[in-house]
Amino acid sequence: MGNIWTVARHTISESIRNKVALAFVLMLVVLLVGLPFGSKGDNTVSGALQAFLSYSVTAVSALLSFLSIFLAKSISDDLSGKQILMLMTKPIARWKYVIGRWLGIVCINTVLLATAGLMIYGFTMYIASKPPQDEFDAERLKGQVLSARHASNYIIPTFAAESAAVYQENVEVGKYSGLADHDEEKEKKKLQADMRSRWRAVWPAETRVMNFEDVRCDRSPDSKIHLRYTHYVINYAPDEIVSYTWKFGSPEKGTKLYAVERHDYKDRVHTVTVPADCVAPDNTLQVIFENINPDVKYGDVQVYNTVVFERDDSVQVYFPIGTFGGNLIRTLSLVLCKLAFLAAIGVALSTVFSFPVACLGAFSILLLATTREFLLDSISWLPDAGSLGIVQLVLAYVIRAIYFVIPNFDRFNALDLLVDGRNVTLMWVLMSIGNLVLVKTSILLIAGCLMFMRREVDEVSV
Amino acid sequence: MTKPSLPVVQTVGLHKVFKDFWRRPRVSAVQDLNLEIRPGEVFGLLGPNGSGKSTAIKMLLGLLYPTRGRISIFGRPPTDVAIKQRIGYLPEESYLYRFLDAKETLDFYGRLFRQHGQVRRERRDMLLEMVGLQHESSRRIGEYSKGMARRIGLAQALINDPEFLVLDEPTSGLDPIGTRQIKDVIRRLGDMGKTILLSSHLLADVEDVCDRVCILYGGKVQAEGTIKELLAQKDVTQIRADKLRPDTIEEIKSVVERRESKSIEVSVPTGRLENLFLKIVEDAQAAKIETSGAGQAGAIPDFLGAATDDGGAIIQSLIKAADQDVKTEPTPVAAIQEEKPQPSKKVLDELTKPKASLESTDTRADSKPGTAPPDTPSKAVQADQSIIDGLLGDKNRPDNYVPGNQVPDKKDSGNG
Repeated sequence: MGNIWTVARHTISESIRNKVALAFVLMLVVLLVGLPFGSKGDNTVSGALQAFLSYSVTAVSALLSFLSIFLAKSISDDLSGKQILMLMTKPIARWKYVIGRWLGIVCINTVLLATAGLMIYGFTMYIASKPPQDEFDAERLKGQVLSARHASNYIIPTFAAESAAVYQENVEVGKYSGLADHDEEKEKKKLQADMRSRWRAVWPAETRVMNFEDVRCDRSPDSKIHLRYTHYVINYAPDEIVSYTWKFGSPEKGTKLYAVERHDYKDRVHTVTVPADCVAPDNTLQVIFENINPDVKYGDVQVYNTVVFERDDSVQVYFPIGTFGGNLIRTLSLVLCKLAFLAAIGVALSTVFSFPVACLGAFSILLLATTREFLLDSISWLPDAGSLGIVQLVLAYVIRAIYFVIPNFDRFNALDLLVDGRNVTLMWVLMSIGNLVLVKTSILLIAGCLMFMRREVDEVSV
Repeated sequence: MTKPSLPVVQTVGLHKVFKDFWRRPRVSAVQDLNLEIRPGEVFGLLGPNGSGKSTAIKMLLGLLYPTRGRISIFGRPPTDVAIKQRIGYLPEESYLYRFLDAKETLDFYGRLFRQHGQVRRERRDMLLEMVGLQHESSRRIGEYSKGMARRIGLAQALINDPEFLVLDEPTSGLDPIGTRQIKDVIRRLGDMGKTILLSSHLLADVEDVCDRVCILYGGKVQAEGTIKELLAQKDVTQIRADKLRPDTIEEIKSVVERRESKSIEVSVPTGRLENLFLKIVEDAQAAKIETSGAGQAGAIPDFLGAATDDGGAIIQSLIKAADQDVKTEPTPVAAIQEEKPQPSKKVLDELTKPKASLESTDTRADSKPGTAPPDTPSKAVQADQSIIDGLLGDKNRPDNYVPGNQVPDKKDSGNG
């Protein structure tokens, strides 16, 4: 470890002396100081804060990604500047040199990320201290941005008993007689699916009882929970507004009951905030949805305003389980995992290639890792399109093969959750450390070490 | 530690062929190199530019891999990390980190040897003093002249008190003072029992300090042997003396003609420009004239040699012996500084107010009596002292005649 740390220390002092890190620190400071005053969002304090968080974390992450790749060139610099001749005649194993360089970059990133994190936290508190636009803004700021909330999905009934009963009825009336390939289980599952689909659609004057479990929050009246829902509407009125009532709580379990009437635009995400004392002591929450839209006619058109909750996460209840500070630390930890991975790519490439090639290679991988979802989506239809079918087919498979190796950076991006005041779980961070650092980064570093151990560190001069 | 019988370096049938991008052989840098460097030897690798010296050295250090052949350093392959603990290396150019200053540079390399803080700092300061950069140690290496960087390069090569020192063209880019200082250091380290591999195309450097040399050309060994073997001119006799009267010269000529039927050539020697230059700079340093360059070189640090084969006692005895050498049989530097007060002044005097002295054409005023091969010209002078004695008697012995090691060596005198 001694020699690894010596090389790491050297990398740190090199980046400071060569003013590379300093230039990036300067850019960071300019960005972070400029953003709080520049970001407006939707003109509310909570909106401005969300915009600031979004831009600042993205900027810090991007800047440090470039820095990681840029600093990794220290190995190719040592090779081209021949300092490696002095180093490799000292008692330091080549693999220790490679690991030392990587460790140095990770240390620089950690310090800069921690500094940036402190600045982001400071500016967040500064923005949050501004007077909110209204009560809603104040609540959104406190409850939905400066928070770490957990989300529970609504439980859709399985309809096992109901589907079995209907199946039995169908058998009795001879619906399946004559069908040679009829399978009881399949039929029941089909019936269940139909019932669940029907349950998701709430017609005018209908109600749905939605249950949530494991709502482990502070149940005091001062504490708030948030119901977030999205829906689409069939046969909607020309004003595109639908009306309904949400009722929270189950008095039979001794909770308060709250009713909130809403008139929302269709197809958007909406949030309802209620005191947390509607949650039962057994950590369950009952929410009743009532479609109060009248059946009306607009001319000849019958309008029902049927509300459909299409997905399993169409209705979620959010409740606070952590602090904003902790959430920020966990979000930045995920950023650090990505930076460690990028540094390993840079280091591995610079053991073989010279500076511009290694840097460009690392940048390409960064780009591919960041745009993975987009690119994979775009190439999914490539094989079928156009006359160049074979070329595109080959291309599609090559890209798929590349993506088999390159991680999906979206999976390690917690920014959306942070901005939304949603909890970034520790488990996620640990899984990312395992996946990105312990497995993928290690593989890259081992490959880099092996390549470096095999290569000659000087070129021919005869 | 190395047993005396085990060579420090051994190569067998070493080849290095450089290939192009398509793996086709392009150039053969080293061909069938068989080297053996024994402990305590100062070995010179000579050759013109592009003769394969640096390639050979880099293969010995594991920086390049041989195409064919076998290398053993301290009985181990050159890629063995543990043997690096015992090696010091100065490449053909000082590839140092420009952003570090001299202290930080030595500190960094010291850390790689896992030296503890106190030891590291002490060695660093002693080495900086040795290479005369103690007053420039806070400047960034990037601001150093090539010669100053070379000095730091030498210092870093000695930070671990290496048993085996590899110096690739150590005097390139150095001024005559630096060259002299580095040659002195090499000599002293050689005296301390270090094994040294010196590569150079500056023949004087190698001749001055090496015990044995190997001459490479086109990647092949053209000649190998001790300096004595390679430079012996057994059909020539050289006579040196203080200024003689013309009639004495004539008498000598006639004696030689009578006894040997041979004629002799008589000429007035000139001093060495190197000595004149060194004298001027020494005077300037004594007068404390300001310079941004390297200062006066200091003594060889005590720690060097502390780890050689048989422990402290031997080293101490070696150092003492070296010190005694300085007092009684001065090395070239000592010749200037100690035994004879300002010997280079003498050279200056000789240059400025010529007192026609009868000397041979040999001008190696600074050659080291104790280690010079017996048949080098300075020795030959002593060998032929018997003839002069025979001719002139002891009362005519030159004033600067130093007895002791100058016992005539009939075997090597070549007076036949």
